[in-house]
Amino acid sequence: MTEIQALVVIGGGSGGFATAMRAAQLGGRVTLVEADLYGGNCMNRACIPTAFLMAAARQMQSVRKAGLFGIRTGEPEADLRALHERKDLLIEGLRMGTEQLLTEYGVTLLRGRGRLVARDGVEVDGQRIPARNIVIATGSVAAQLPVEGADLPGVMGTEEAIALREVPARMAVIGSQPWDLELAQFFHILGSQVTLIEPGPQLLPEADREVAQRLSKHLYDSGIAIRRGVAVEAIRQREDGALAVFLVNGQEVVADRVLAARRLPNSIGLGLQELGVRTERGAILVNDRMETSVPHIYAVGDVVAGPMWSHKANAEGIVAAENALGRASRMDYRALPRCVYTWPEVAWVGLTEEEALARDLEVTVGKFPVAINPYAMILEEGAGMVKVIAGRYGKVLGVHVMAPGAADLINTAAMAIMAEATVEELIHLIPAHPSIGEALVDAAMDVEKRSLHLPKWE
Amino acid sequence: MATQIIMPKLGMAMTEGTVVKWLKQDGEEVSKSEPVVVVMSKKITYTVEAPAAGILRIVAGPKETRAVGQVIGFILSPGESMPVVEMVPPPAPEAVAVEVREAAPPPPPPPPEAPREIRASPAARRLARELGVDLTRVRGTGPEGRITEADVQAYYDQQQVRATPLARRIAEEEGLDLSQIQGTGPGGRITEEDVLRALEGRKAPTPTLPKTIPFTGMRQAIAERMMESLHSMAQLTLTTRADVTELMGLRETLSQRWNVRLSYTDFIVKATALALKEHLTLNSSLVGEEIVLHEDVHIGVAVALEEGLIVPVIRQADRRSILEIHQIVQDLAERARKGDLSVDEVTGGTFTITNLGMYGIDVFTPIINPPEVAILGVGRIFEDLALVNGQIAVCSRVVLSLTIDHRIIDGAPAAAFLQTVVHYLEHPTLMFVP
Repeated sequence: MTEIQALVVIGGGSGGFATAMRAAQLGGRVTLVEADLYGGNCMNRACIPTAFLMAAARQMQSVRKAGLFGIRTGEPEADLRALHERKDLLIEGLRMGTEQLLTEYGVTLLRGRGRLVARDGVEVDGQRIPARNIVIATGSVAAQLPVEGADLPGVMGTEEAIALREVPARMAVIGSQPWDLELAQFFHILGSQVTLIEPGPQLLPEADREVAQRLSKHLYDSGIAIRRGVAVEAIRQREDGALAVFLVNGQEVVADRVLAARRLPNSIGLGLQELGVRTERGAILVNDRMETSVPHIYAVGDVVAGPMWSHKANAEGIVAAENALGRASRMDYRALPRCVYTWPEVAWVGLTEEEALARDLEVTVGKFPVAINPYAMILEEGAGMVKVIAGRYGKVLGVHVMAPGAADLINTAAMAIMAEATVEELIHLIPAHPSIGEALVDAAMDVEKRSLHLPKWE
Repeated sequence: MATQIIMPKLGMAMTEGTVVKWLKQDGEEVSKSEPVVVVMSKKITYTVEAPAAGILRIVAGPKETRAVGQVIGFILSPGESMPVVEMVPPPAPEAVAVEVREAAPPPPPPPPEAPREIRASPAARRLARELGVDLTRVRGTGPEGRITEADVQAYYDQQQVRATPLARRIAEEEGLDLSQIQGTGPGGRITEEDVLRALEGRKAPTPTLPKTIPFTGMRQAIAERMMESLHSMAQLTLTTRADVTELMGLRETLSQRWNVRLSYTDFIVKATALALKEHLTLNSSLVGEEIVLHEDVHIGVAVALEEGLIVPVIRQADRRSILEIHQIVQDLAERARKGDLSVDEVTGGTFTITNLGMYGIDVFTPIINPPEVAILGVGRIFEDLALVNGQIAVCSRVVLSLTIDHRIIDGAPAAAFLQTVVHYLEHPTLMFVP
């Protein structure tokens, strides 16, 4: 291949896919280089398989709860072989769809490890591809926690945990990022005795404190042990073969498997330094046009600084592609949703109450407990809440949801923030009845102390 | 003068706050912006900074509650005495309400909203009904805040401007006229950022609009002719240099003798005209399937104008003397600049000369003026070194750029023509041979 490409994208995950597709739509000649599997980490090893596992766990819970609805069943039993077969089939289908779409749009798919050799060229396994623009979308890589014993057998990253074909009797989870909570709940529902260890004061450190507390209480009530505010000293192998997680307060958590996962930007070995692409702690620095410090080189997704969300990579890819092909596009993170696929789901967009107060904003909060939302009552899923953080002029600063279907409901809130709707617009929304969305409108009304479904303020 | 320290408002719902503790002693000296007291609303604690430098005097001690805006202390200048403060009895202790709801402790209830009496003129009411305007949202500017017809119209007009709900709300509360704000959002919508910028008195960075020149008249005619030329011919440019040392001397001599200021162009027109007579294919046009060789040599000379360029024609140039050519060129150029030329004077040329020498250009690729088949570009005259009989000598040179239509003229005859022109220029007396 000697033809000059308008765009060469390194990495065929969420960010790379969106970049390549958008660039092809705009008429560019595009090559997408992937060293492993198209669809990337999200589709093959993270978001999609985890969401599948959580859906499976939910099925199991539904069966257990069926009696509440007058349906008689026996105790459900997990068949992990069948579960993983089905999961792999799903992923394969998605991956095939991805490759097919890319091909249909005329994107050249090239397998191999891409490396930047010049400002206008990418080398893939010795082959040089000339390019006017380069987008780095190499994502992130799993890394061990910087803890003694993190390399012991039985200490897993998320990929191993997702692929695990057995249910460990005892499991310890170090950290409480979304994937930690999801996998903790999955194995707990399937029968593991799970202990969550979070060194900070709050599970889900980036979430609104009140919502995080509710989730924490819900997980605790369901039987997951939680150790908060205590760091891990070391993981050691016991004589009986089990693992022991030693905490700095002297306590010890015994487990057969330990989940200790974190991810780092995948920026090593790309030739970034030689070209002068600036990075900070491994993350590529970009501006809001997704441009790196070197002209015509862009970066998107987990490899750039910021939270690692597939939908963030996707949005960034579109911005990068548009700028590379001569449009003027800017990334706006104000309405970036976050979601955790625990049961019930937790999702949010915008600022937490703590962040808003720390910024000295005039803050008014409206809340509504999901426990009295009729649809949640029907579903017997009342553990959550909806919280609207409003600022001056009724500006919607943030919306936090812990409820069944939170990941979907949050899109409504994201729309409000993106379109600069105020609390007044949310109040005027007519939610379908019965639906979880009614709780969002009630929480918005509560900002003005006028929810029709809450007791009167004194 | 004494500066008050007041109970700050820490949230929309806050009506009163409690002093948690003073960080400085009564009577202690404090500097401006130094943290002096921690106060607490029902939701948060907050550190108040000294609003001025001076001596701190405490009014409300720890655990004392004050309404928002009430004085809790003073900063005095040295020697100043404490102002009298109206003391408010601390509120009676309340029983702690059992928390029924899942929410944070409730703020005090807002006063029940009294149905607002709307004062509006009958005309305003009629217009509001017609336009569907909610009068409760209109700010009245009439006597005693009465809503006038103009207020309703102004409110309605504001609503017609494209703006986000948040931007609209801010403008409404701050009394900003949205129609004066430039929107930068999708589709030119006015966003929060635009309104806040306007609020801060900052103007939106309006891009400097590029100036425009109407693409009509002469500009359009030139554009059409040049595109037609390049699209319809196979144009090729040849360049060569001519030694014009002798010509320069002759020009001086003749200028003095005739008491005029002859230009190089005059000589080049003459030399070209004579050369064309010897190479008629350069003085031709392609008409249908025939190349028509013109016996008459009519040379156009490009004249730059402010709005473009025009090419007046010197008819029968080969038969004119240098002095005649000079006079005709002078006259045509002058009238061209005045816009005084007739159609006959700018049409019917068989060859064109264009001179960029006065702009310091040596070589360029002129574009043929159709239906002609060639054009001669004249460059700058510059001093150069030459070898004359093995000796270095100073000479004057000019570069000639000849563009030909290769469909009609091949390289060799074009070169031969160019050599003839050079020959005349290098041996200018030959131009005077009858």
